[in-house]
Amino acid sequence: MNIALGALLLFLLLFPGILLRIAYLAGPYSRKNIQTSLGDELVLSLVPAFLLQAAGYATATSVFGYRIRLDQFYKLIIGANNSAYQPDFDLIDQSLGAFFAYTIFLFLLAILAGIGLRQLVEQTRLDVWAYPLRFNNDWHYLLSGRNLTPDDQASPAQEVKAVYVDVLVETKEGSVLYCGLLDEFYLSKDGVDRICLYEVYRRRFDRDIKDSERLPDKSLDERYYKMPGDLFVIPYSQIRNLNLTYYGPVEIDDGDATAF
Amino acid sequence: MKAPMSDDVRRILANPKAADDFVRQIITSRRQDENAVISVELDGKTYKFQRIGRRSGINRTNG
Repeated sequence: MNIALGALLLFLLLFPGILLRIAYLAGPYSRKNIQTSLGDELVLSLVPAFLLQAAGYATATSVFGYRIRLDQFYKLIIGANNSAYQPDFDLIDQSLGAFFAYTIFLFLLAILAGIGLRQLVEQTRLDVWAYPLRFNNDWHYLLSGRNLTPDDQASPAQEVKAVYVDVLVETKEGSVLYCGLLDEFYLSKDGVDRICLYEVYRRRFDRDIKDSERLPDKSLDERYYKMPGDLFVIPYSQIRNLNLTYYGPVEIDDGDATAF
Repeated sequence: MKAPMSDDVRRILANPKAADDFVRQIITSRRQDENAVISVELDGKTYKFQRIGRRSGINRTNG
């Protein structure tokens, strides 16, 4: 029973860190599909839990004037089998209300901090540089172009306006290449479930041209077949590989042009 | 979830002729000059864009 009480107290102290991490990772592009162990999550929650508890401690003592008896926490956590286990249960009983108010305050602070941190990271693109800060499935970074850093680009921090995809698919007649503009993608537990393309052209993969050959400008040869329909959906299970090309704005070189 | 696609690109794709011109230029430029500016005329406006990414800036004329 006493061991359970110590474990419960320890969990309450660490839980703000876990909450911060949950709030940070939650969102439309959740990282839920990334496989992480409970141990990893606990370790990653330790640092924010410590920072939140430090902030809570400082606020409770300096702003509200509470005197927090850390020795009582220590005595409760070590368990009854330890000779130093001599908690002051009268004091603990008197402080329960304040402790729960403090805990709830810290939970709310953790959630707000997680949401705020996510917004900050999204705006500053820190997640592109620092992998531990990534909140999305890695496929999201690839398919959205968010993986691009200023070093990758001709001009720093160009916004991706369209993603063009070549998809290699195996069919009974051989490998087929589908080329089109990426409209949507759906993440799954294994990575990507399916992708949706606009303006799709199809050609046989074995009909590549030689490097020495050139296509006439602004024309397509007969190898390409335009797929009818509004939206082309390819299940991930049929995809052999993907070739992604990102397009962004270009500088306006005349008064009539609109760059995007 | 939606892939990044600007309103202008969606406007181009909504027009069959402009969409066809747009994609044809992309396919052709990717073989011949990856850094070529894609230029599409629509409703009296010229929309331009260019490849960005790891290999942009590399002059690759025949590929």
